[in-house]
Amino acid sequence: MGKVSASLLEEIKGLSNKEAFDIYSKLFETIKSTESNIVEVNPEDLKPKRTKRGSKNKK
Amino acid sequence: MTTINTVDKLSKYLDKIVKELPKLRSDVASEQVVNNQKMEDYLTELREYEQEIYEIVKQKLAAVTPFDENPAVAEKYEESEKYRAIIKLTGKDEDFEERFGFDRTVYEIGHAKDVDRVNEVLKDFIIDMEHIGIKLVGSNFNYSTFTQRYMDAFFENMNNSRYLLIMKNVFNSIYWECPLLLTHLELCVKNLITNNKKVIIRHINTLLDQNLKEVDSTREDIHDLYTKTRIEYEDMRLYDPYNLLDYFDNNRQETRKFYTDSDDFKAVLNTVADANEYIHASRDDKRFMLKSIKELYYDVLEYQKVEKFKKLFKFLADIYENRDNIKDNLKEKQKEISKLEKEKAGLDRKIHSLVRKRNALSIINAKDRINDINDKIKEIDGQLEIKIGEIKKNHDDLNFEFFQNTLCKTFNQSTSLFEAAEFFSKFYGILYNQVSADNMIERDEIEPRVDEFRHIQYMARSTIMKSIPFTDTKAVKALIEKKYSLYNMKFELASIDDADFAKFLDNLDTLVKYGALEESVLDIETCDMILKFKDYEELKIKRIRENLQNTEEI
Repeated sequence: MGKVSASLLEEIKGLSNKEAFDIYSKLFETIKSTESNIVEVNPEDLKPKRTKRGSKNKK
Repeated sequence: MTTINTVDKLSKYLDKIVKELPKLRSDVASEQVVNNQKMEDYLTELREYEQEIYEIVKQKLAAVTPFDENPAVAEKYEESEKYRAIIKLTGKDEDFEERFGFDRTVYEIGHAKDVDRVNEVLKDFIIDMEHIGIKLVGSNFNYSTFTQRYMDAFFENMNNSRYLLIMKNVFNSIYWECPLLLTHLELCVKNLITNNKKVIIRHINTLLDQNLKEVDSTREDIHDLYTKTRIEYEDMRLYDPYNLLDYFDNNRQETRKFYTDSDDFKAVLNTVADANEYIHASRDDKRFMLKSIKELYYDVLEYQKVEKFKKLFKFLADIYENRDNIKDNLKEKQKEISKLEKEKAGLDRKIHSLVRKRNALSIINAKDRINDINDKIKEIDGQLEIKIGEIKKNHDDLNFEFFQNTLCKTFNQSTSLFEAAEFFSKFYGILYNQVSADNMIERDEIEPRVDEFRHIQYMARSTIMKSIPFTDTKAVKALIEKKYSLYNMKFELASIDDADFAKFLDNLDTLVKYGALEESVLDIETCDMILKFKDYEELKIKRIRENLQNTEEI
């Protein structure tokens, strides 16, 4: 991912206070929502499930 | 990923992420790991944007954010307080005790709630007298052997950092011999003040003239100067953008009432006027309406004050009504006190003479004689206690009669509530007793009540109290309602103890602040924006701290 576009920042500088704040607020809220959507995964759940003794996988 | 080089593209990109988020939840652990990674990638990217845009928005908002109260507000306050201090020194020579605060000193010594307070008041008194040019020593407090003993110990220890503790022990040791020690001290200090009356008056008048010269004013003009400055200060404080923002910061739920098109604002305004009429009025009419509401607010505060102290005004009115039956016995009372003081001095002399005789005797050869003398001293001590009790009672009676007589001489039918409050404030002890006599007032509330009442004379906005006679407290409510009905404002003032009254006053307070905001460089949208940005900054700081903590733990 590259640097933030200079033209975007220039455009924001030229916005009214409210418009600039609105886009910042939207960005901030999106970050908050994204953070809250990350679910911690239990490493145990990632291990392959143990098969029953005597199953056909067992030689 | 497309290049985000416009606000529109950034906005759409954010919409896309928000829309995608619910789909990035999975019950399958391995899938969630992949989704989490995707969201982490988004976050890395978004945080980079956030940091850059944060700096721009911060700079933009800094230009419209008031970061501190205008220093001119505090300066104006200091100026008004300076004038108030000068006003305290004004008055007639006969009110010299009140002008210097000695009325309170005397009362507090006699009625202190704890020994520490007595000692603090005594220390202040000694310092004040020194400022006046009267250096007191233990022997000045020779009103009785007990005051002398107490004050000798006081002067010995008053510069010790533990003097309050030491004096508590001294008080304890003397108290059992003289339970009326506080009365002795009260009368002793009162006598010291009376005996130095001329010097004190001269000092107050010199101080007053010096202070008036410093502020380039006169005894006649200082009250107006104070009122003008105080009102300017109150308005500056009210209109100050920092204070308005600070109010919203501390009352986040209140901001919704400040949006003119909101139902909350209309509901608040409807309590006194027609909100629809306001919304459709011209700018000039709106300003006039808000100005009238501000006047109403201050009038209602006066109404609240009058209602709160109506029992005190009634007390004054009753004395005035009964004026034909009040006799002027002041001279007789003063004579009586002088007579009692002479008798007391005689008893003092007798005790001193007996003590001298006793000290000259040998404890081995004249044990019986010494015992006789001790019995005699004890007997005279008892007589002395009774005498001091009588003197105290006569002083209190004299003070009350002086109060009644002065009231009857100076009051008339048109004496205003303000003048009555100003007058009563000069009699600290009587005022205090009268407030204490009200069973509805808790013990801890008495002193603040007395102070609040005494503060009426410094209320800059007191049009009603300066216009309405002190006998007519009931008229205030009707007059306010009538006046504002002429401005097309309809409301009914509830009793001040009623919850409706508190709500009404709260609404007026909101409207006064709304009016201030209308005149300010700020508007409610900007305030909301600044405060929300402040919240974001706090969340950012919190996140940085948590990250730092996590790094340290690793």
